Amino acid sequence: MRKVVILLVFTLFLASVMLFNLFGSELRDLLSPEVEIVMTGYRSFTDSSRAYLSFPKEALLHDESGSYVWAVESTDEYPESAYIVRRTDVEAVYEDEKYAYVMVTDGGIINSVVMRWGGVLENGCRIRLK
Amino acid sequence: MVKRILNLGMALFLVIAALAVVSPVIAVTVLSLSEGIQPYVDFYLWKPVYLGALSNSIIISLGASVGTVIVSTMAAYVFAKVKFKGRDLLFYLYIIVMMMPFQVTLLPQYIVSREFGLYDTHFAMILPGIFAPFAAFLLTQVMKSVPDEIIEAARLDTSSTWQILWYILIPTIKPGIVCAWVLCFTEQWNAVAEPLVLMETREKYPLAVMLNEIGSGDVLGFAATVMFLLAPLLLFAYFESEILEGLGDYRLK
Repeated sequence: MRKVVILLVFTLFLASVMLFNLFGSELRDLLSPEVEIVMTGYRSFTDSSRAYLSFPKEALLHDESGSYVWAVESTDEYPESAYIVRRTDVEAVYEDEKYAYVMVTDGGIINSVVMRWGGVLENGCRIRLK
Repeated sequence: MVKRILNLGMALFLVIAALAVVSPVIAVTVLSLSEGIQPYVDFYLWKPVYLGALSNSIIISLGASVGTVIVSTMAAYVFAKVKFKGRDLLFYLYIIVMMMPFQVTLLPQYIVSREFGLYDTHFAMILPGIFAPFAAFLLTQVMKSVPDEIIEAARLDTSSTWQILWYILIPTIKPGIVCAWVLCFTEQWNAVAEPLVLMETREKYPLAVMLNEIGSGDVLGFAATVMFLLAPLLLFAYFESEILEGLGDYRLK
């Protein structure tokens, strides 16, 4: 009986290492929240010399600490390249019917932001693009 | 009374010695669980830096140890049971290679792997591992303990050397084969210097090399260390009696 248990554990150990190594990428994709992203743009107003980041209003989020967006970044760290999200604080300058115009208060250039998503987004978590 | 005190002192010493040996394993296991099972989930799924290395370890260790057992069993049969000129000289050469520190043969291994185009592949580790002399030496000694009469009796039924080896000798020396396999597996599993010399791509390194990079607060690294301990531990637990028998007496009773 003892030997059967050890053999089972050993087989499980070998199989799990090999399976996760072979199909880990697919599994990570499957477990990552699916998101819909939108490219950002820039717009300058006539009364201001600077350009503001613009994106659909839905992507601008608010909580007790202020306004923020989920900025999408690509990473090519081991084991494979992937997209991750970063919570980036912004300051809303102007909003019209469709778009929000913001100043980025932390972080650098934002090329795309998350508009809709399923599941829970956490800072630095891997995402799957819709 | 004096004997009793001596026994007690010896028991105490053994307990302390056992604790000294086991305490790093306990410490690393406790540290790996300091953040729950999340480091293990990260190990398998989200940060599989060490998982790839572990599968490299499995490929190298299994490939080399299984190959060693196959080659060494046949070599042992020849050394122990086939009489030919120069047999003992050849066997002594084997022993000389076995006695050499592995660092001596590392540079030739590097040159040969370069010349054969095996450098930076797993075969650079597996092929020299297959022809490691220790298993052949061990199995030769084990095979020598099998009486010749058994082989002579088998010769009455078949003239095939292969059948004698397969049906008579291998079942008789099974504990020795298992013992050689586990020892070779463990040797390859723990190898650090050879992969560093024979491979250069980080993704191809076995886990023994990667564990070198673990820092003091690296919980994921601790989880990887526990996973690294698991295979030899399970193998020893499974084949405990065979290993002890394989290193012990072989005469047929």
